[in-house]
Amino acid sequence: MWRVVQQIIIILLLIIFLASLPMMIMVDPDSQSIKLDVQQLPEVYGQFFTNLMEGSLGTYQLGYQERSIAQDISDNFFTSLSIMLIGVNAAIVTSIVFGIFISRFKITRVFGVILNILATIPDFIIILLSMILAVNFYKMTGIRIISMRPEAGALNLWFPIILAGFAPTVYLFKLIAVKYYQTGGEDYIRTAVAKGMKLNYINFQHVFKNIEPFIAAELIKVISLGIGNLFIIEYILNVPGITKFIFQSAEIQPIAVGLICMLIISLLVFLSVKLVFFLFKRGFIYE
Amino acid sequence: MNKLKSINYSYYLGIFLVTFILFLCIFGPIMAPHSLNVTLETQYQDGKVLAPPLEPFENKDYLLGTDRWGYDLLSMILFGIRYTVFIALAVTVIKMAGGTLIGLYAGTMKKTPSMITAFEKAWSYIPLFLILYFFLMPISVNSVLGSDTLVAYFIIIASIISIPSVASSVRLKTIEVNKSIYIEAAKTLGAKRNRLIWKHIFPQLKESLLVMFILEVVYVITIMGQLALMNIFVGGTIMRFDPTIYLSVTKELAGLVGQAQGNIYGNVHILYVPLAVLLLTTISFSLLANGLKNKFQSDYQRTPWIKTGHDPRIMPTRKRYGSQSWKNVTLNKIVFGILILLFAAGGAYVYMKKDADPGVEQGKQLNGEAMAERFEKEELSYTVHIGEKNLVGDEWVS
Repeated sequence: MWRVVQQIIIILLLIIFLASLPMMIMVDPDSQSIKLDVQQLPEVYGQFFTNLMEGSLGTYQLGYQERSIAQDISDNFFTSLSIMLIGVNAAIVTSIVFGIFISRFKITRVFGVILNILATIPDFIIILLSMILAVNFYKMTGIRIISMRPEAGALNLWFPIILAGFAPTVYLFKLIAVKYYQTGGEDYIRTAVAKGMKLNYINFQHVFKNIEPFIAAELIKVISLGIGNLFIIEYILNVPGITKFIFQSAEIQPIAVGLICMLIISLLVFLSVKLVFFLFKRGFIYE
Repeated sequence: MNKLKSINYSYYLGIFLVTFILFLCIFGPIMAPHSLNVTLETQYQDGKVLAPPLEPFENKDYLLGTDRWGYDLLSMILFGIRYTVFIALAVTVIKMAGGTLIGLYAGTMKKTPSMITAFEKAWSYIPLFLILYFFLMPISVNSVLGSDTLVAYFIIIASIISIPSVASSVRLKTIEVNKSIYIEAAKTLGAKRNRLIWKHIFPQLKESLLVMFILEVVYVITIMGQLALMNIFVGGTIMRFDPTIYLSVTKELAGLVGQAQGNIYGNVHILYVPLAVLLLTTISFSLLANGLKNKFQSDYQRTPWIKTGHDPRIMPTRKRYGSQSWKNVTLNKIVFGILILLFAAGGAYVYMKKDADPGVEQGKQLNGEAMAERFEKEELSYTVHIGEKNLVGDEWVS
């Protein structure tokens, strides 16, 4: 527990430091070098905290208008949260199912090859390409599969969800595939095979149990991959999410609030994945 | 048939493509057909109007087309690709060196301090490109700093902020190796920490570090691309107002993609061309990494007892002791030899061609002196066909 608290404190410090960076770094035109303006920091932080104490979250720039963060935060927060929650959970379930439980079938080989090909393309190019593809699809068939209008609801959301789940799937599937291969060579698997246990049984009771700690250890990395892509996705696909506060503004307030919301979102996603694991183990695995 | 299936295609293709990319990086500016300052001026050619933006593969002088101001895309790519690849390599070298050192020593500690793990996890939570974004945003747009300075800042900041993630994965691998029995044995024989690290652990990690190095190159290019989408170009952004456009100073590939992102609505080739080259660059490095991984995996893995979907199809290569001499000619060595020869020959050819007289550039005029000089050398000649009648004196003559 102490470790979690320690981590959260470090992350919060990091966020506040990051949020103040745009105000701190300046270019000195005379000496042609970068100057760190540390003097105004206490004032900036002071204002940030007094603002928070007063219950005001401040304002952010949206296009040319200045809007209050408090007014928009709940909608934006839930949009981002739903994208991350569905995307990451789907990624984890898919990669576990393909990586462990149906790994022996031909379909996994196909799935693996497709993912391998897609994995060689950087995520942001995939996001760009998929958008071009969707636009061309609309031009050819007249069927609108995605919408860039922020208020378009599900039409605006399903595509970001798939894209947000993509990078975690690639990362996790590769990892699980390697671990499955390695675990398959262990002696306890040999014993289980020698006892005549069925492959499904071995997968559930022996393999999954031993791979799960690795997945749990990589969970933060997986979520942060998703978060990293979320920034690009919301920016390109014009999704009204939490990143709207962060870009376009150089003030400490919106950036810090946005990043803290991100932190809360990843915590919630982390807990939800843990819950899924817990339910899965209760349902299928003898503890 | 089986033999064909068991060839490590991505390895060979990766090596070939990476060599090709490196060739472009080194000799690119020499090969560029136009300079960065020359624009295609609107003109008639064979009764057709040539006007920017020119589509690719329409005109052989502007093979990949031009952007909407008439700058040659191929030339921009040839000038810019060295920035992309060399910056990525520089960042990767620094961060891998730092991360490996820290990871190796942190991984062989008796007990890892909880601060380190907490910091690692906290650091891995925040996307790296965001940190870079906040660093570079105040200094990059319409900067008074030179582009070299900005590139240097990018290299330093990008490598420093990504050292923790490299260090963390090296640390985990080190801990794994450190548990082995042969480490126990070496300790019993009196090996000190430095010897353990450099003679026993590091050689075990060499191969996975190589794969990691190449993957990190791709990762740095990805970060550059993500920043470019936010209009932060490595080496500086020129921002023009009315209408607001962003231009890359160095013309590096990610910057070219970023500055053309508005072209998704029209003249899409201005976006597609640099995007395709960027894609080729990242794919060649990923293919190489993938190929190396396949090779090492098939060499070192234990075969599992149950059926998995991921068995390597590549035959393992076994070291044959006593036959390790450069005199043993294998197919691999021949292929690599040919590749190196091609690289050198191509480079020499391009270098010699560099000063060949380009003649008069299309749509341009020679100034009087140069023209006279070349008429004298009889390099230029002219014939005049007069179809119309001219008035000479009082008479119309043809």
